[in-house]
Amino acid sequence: MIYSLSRKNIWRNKVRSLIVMGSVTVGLICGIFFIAFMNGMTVQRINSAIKSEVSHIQIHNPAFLDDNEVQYTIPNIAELTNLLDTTSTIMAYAPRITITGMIGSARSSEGVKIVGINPDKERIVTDIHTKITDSVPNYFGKKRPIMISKRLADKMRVKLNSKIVLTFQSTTGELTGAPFKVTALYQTSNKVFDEMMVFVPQQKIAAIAGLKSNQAHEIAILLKSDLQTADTKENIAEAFPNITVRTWKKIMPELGMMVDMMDSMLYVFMIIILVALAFGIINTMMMAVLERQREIGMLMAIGMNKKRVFTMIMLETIYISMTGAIVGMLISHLILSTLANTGIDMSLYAEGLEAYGYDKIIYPAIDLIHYINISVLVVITAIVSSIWPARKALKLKPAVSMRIE
Amino acid sequence: METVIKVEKLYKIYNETGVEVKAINGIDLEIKEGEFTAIVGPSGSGKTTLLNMIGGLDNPTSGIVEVGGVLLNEMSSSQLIDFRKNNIGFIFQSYNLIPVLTAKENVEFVMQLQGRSKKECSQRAIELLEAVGLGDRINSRPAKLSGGQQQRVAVARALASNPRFILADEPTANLDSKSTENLLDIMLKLNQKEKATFVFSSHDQRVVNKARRVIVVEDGKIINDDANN
Ligand SMILES: Nc1ncnc2c1ncn2[C@@H]1O[C@H](COP(=O)(O)OP(=O)(O)O)[C@@H](O)[C@H]1O
Ligand SMILES: [Mg+2]
Repeated sequence: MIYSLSRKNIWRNKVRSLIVMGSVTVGLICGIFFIAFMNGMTVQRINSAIKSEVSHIQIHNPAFLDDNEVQYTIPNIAELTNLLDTTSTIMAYAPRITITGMIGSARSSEGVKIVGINPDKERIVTDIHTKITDSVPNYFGKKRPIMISKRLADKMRVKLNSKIVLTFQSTTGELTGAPFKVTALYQTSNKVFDEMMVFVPQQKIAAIAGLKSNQAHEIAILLKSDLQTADTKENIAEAFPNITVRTWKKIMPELGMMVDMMDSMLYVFMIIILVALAFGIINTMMMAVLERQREIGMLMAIGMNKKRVFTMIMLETIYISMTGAIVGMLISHLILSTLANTGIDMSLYAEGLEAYGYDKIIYPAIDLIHYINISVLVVITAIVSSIWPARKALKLKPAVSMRIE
Repeated sequence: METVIKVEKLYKIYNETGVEVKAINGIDLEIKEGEFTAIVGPSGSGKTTLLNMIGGLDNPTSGIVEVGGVLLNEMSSSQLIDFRKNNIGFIFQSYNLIPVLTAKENVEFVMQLQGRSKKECSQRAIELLEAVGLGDRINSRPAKLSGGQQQRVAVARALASNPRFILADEPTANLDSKSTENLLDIMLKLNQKEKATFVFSSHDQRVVNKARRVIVVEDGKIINDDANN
C-alpha cells in the first residue's frame, strides 16, 4: 500500500522529479565515465608495461642487480629453464643478455642498454617486434644486426643500414666492442625506453662479451594471466633460493602503487559526486515535504502512523534516485561500450602522455565490480538523503490540516 | 444512549507568538451516540480548536477529553494516531483526499491502515461511495471531481473505518449552496441509516438549520446549547 502510494507520488511534481532524476543520471554518467577513463589509462599502462617492458616476472642473479657486471649471469640456468618449461602457468619466457654500454656513430655516442635477445622467444613474451616501423628483410638474420629506436636513430643521425659501434666491458673486464648494422627501427610510446634500449641477437653479443650461448642475465616470463603472478613467483623463488625473482609490481613499484591508489582515488571522486547529489536530493525532497504539509497532516490525522509516513517519504526519494541511477548506468554502459571499441583519441595531449609511457588512444573500461559498487553507493546515498526529508515529515502536526488561514 | 465524547473544564491557551490567546476558555460538553451536532459561532470563536482537541489532533492546556471512556490527554502522539485510526472519522474543509489515489482507493486507504482484508476494503468502499451517490465515479481521481463530490468521498472515507464518531470542521465552507445542501442531506441520511455520530462546525445558517443539536460558541465558551433547553 505504502509502496504504491510512494510510487504514485513520484509523478506529482514531474519537473522536480525529473530534475532529481536528471542530476542523479548526469552525476553517475560523469562518475562512471571518469572512473572508466582513469581505469582504462591504468590498465593500458600496465598492459603495455608488461607487454613491452617488464613482463610478469623477471629473474636475475642478485649480484647483477646490485652491480651490472657482465659476469653476473643467472646460475643453474639449465635446471631453471627446465622448471620454467614445466610450469603450467607460464605462457613463455625469454632469456636475455643485458649489458650497459655505449653506442657510437660517426657523429655521436650515447649510453644505452644492449639487450641480447632470442628473437623467436622474445616474439611471444614481448611485443617489441610489433613496434618496428622500418626494417630490412630478415633483419635479425644478418651478420651483426642491431635494432634501435627511431628516436635514437634520429638523435644519432643514423638510418637503416648505417654502421654503428657498440662498446662495453667483457667478462674479463676489458673494454671491447664491435660494429653492427642497423637493420630495424622501432618506436614505442615510451620515450625513455626508446632512447635506452637497443636489441641484438643473443648469440652474437654473447660471443663478443665472452659468454656462453646459453648464459643470460635476465629471464623475462610471460604468464597466462596476471592473477598467477604472485604464486608463480613464489614457486620459482622457493626452488632457486640463490636467484632473485621479481614481479612487475616489484620491478616497477610506481606502477603497482598507481593501481592500488587509483582504486581508492576513484572512490573518493565518486563519493564527492554522490555527496553533491545527496545535497540536491535532500533539498528537493525537503521542498516536496513542505509543499505537502497539509496532506501529510491529513494522513496522520486519519491514522497513518509515523513509521508509514517515514517510509512513504523515504521510498519516494529512493524511487526517484534509483530511477535516475538506472538510467545513468544504462547510458554510461552505452557510452562505454561504444568507446571501448573506438577509444578516445588523446593525440592533442599525446606528447605529454607519451613521456609517461601512455598511448595516444585511451580505451575507457570499467569492471563489473565497479558497477556493482557504484550502484550500492547510489542506493546508500539515496537512503541517507531520504532520512532528513522523512524526519521533517514526522515533525509536522496533524492539526495543520484543520487550519485554513 | 451511550456517551461518546466527554469534555470537562477544557482550556486551550496559545502562546506561540508570545501573546496569550485563550482559544478555549472553559468548556464542558457531552455528546452521545447517534447525535448530529453542529458547533456554530463566528470566525475565531474557537470551533476548530475545540474540534482539534476532541479529535486528538492537539493537546489541551488543561481539562479532560474522553472518547468512548478513554482519556486522550495522556496519550503520546503515536498512541493518538492509532486511536484516531480506529475511533474517529475526519472530514476537513479541504485537502481531504490523497490526490494520486482514486475515490475508491481513498476510501480503502483508511481501512487498509486498519489492516482489513483487501476484499472487505473494496466491498465497503464501493458500498459507501454508492451511498454518497458516487457509484459511477469510484475510479476518478480527486482532481476530476467537483468540490461537492470530493467532500462526499471524504464523508465515505470518514465512515469507512467504522469510527465512534465523525468530526467535520466546516465541511461545506468551500461549497456552493446546492452542494452544501446535498452534502448535509447525505450526512443526515448516514446518521440515520448507519447510526453514525456527526459533530461538525459551521458558521452557515443553512447548515445549522439541518442540525439536530446546535452548540453556539463565542470567545472560547459555550453560550448556548439546545440540549440544555
Ligand atoms: N496556532 C495558533 N496560535 C495562536 N493562536 C491561534 C492558533 N490557532 C488559533 N488561534 C487563535 O485561537 C482563536 C480560535 O481560533 P479557531 O479555533 O481557529 O476559531 P474558529 O475555528 O472558530 O474560527 C482565534 O483567536 C485564533 O486566532
Ligand atoms: Mg475554524
